[in-house]
Amino acid sequence: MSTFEPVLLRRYGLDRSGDLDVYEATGGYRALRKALGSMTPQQVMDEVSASNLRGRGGAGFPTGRKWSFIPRDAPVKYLAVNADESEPGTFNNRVFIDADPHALVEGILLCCYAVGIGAAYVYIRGENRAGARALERAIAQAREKGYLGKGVLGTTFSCEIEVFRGAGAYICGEETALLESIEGRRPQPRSRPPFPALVGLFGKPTVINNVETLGCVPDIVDRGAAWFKSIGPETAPGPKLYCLSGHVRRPGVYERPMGTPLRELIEEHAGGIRDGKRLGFVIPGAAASTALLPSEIDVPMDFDSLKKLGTELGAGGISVMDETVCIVETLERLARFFRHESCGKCVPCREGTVWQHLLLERLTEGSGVARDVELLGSVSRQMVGRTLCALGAFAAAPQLGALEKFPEHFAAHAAMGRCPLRAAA
Amino acid sequence: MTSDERLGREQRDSTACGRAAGPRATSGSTSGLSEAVRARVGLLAVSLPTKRAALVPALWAVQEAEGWISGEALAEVAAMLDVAPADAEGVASFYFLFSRKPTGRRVIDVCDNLVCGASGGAQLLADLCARLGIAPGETTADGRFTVRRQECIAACHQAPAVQVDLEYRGPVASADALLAELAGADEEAPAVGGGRAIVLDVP
Repeated sequence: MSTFEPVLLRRYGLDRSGDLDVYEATGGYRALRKALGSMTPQQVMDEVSASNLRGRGGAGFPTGRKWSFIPRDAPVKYLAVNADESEPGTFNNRVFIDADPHALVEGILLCCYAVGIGAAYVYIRGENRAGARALERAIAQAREKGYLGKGVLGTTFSCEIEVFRGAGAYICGEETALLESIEGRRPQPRSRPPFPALVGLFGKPTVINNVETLGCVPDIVDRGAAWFKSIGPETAPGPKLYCLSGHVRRPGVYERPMGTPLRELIEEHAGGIRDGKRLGFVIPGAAASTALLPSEIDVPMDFDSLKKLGTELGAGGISVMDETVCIVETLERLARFFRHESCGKCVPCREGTVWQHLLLERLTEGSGVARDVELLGSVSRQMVGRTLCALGAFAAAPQLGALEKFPEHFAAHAAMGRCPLRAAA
Repeated sequence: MTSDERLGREQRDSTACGRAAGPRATSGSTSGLSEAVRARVGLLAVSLPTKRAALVPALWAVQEAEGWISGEALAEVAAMLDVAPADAEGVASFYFLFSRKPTGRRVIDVCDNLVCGASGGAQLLADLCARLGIAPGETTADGRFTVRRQECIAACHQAPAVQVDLEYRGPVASADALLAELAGADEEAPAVGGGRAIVLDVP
């Protein structure tokens, strides 16, 4: 795959890459013209289905199938674009939107055309004001040139895009909390069924897609499903934006084929571990994934390979920690995050995240005992599968994984009342 | 652990109900919305599928005009959108970025989560607070700075990263370096904290 050419980030670094004329001059809106000029909505949907594009938000659900769940004959339907991106370790949406906002606009328009949607909301986290501005600007430019609004490019297809700024709450990245937030309610997840595909935003059938997922769509339509499937593994093909951060020499977003080995990403692209240190552990798919040991980094970075290792790709946030970082302290930080972000609706999550954090605080502060380690496992196990949304399971996963993989670290904290790494230093 | 400890679970600083007299409202009225904000909220109320859907954008409009959301402003927005005041309070208090008490002229949000935390973010927060003589969530006596501990801001490649009035900065070399940078720019600093976005500009 040495011939891989960036797709999603191909305009990154171009002068005025967010402007319409630059976008058009580099092939932008060609896919939209092709779709509106020579393809039926069904053909666009079929092309996306045939490409095997899987949702990049973390769940990896086939995008074409998701679109096909929306009732054709429903008079009002919506697209909600998830740009909430708040999971520790993840920043690819932010980089993508800054570099190429029109690509997202075009992906949105193609989805709306395929599914018969007249209005899309982009839910962008409140902190990312720059991204919201870049999108607003791209939308205004696109409207002026007739790419969106009433009668797109002189056809009967009409579509509006609204940018909706969140205001700082991780739970809003959960798809039904996101809908509640847009509707002006306290953003707590809904119980399902009914699923958003039938009863979503404002009670109407709604597609909810991640930014990067939609970012893949223009090229699928323009170059075809076969081209897309030629990149990466057949079961989860296409380009992927990997976020490399932590103790690497060159942190940043790297676009590589899905399934690129983690070792290649860390050592070749991100330049390896900095300051002459050695690798300690890697959190491969942001906060909700189990950490990997140095011996495990030959894993291909795709949904299925990581699942086999008992962890997750998530949205592609790879946090690389050197040998001086304590796994228990890292987990305490993550537990604090989930405690902070639990919406409080379901008891196992609301209570469980507090207990997890208190137990880990005791262990890191030196007052923990062996029983606390057991209790952390028991509390975490009881959070899985007993909540309306995935936040409870997300909070539990890294703890349960680490208890299995790094038992000696927990035991040392409990027995010595301090971190073994600090003791050695 | 005692039940008290559990009940006393940490709250987001900025979402603590802010009726306690904020030390210094930096500008703007503390009662009633300006004409421009009222007009903006009115427009939002008729341009979205439901009136209630205007609530979060309306709260942004208030915050960007005033720097924070007073109880009076919240009540007025709620009334304009036919949302019960307690209901609106429940929405506003959920979000970290909606400030329910006045903030300083510059609001510094410091991330000390996963990656920033392993890259000096916690130390940066501690140093900033020590330099300014405040605790996280507080505002300096002269009303210049508010410092808050923020969760991940999607700037892990810039660790340790901060946002100043929602503008990204990082990697931040030290608290002193950041404060020196901000002192240089203080002249052009916005009059109110939280920054004013153009996204919800008054048409």
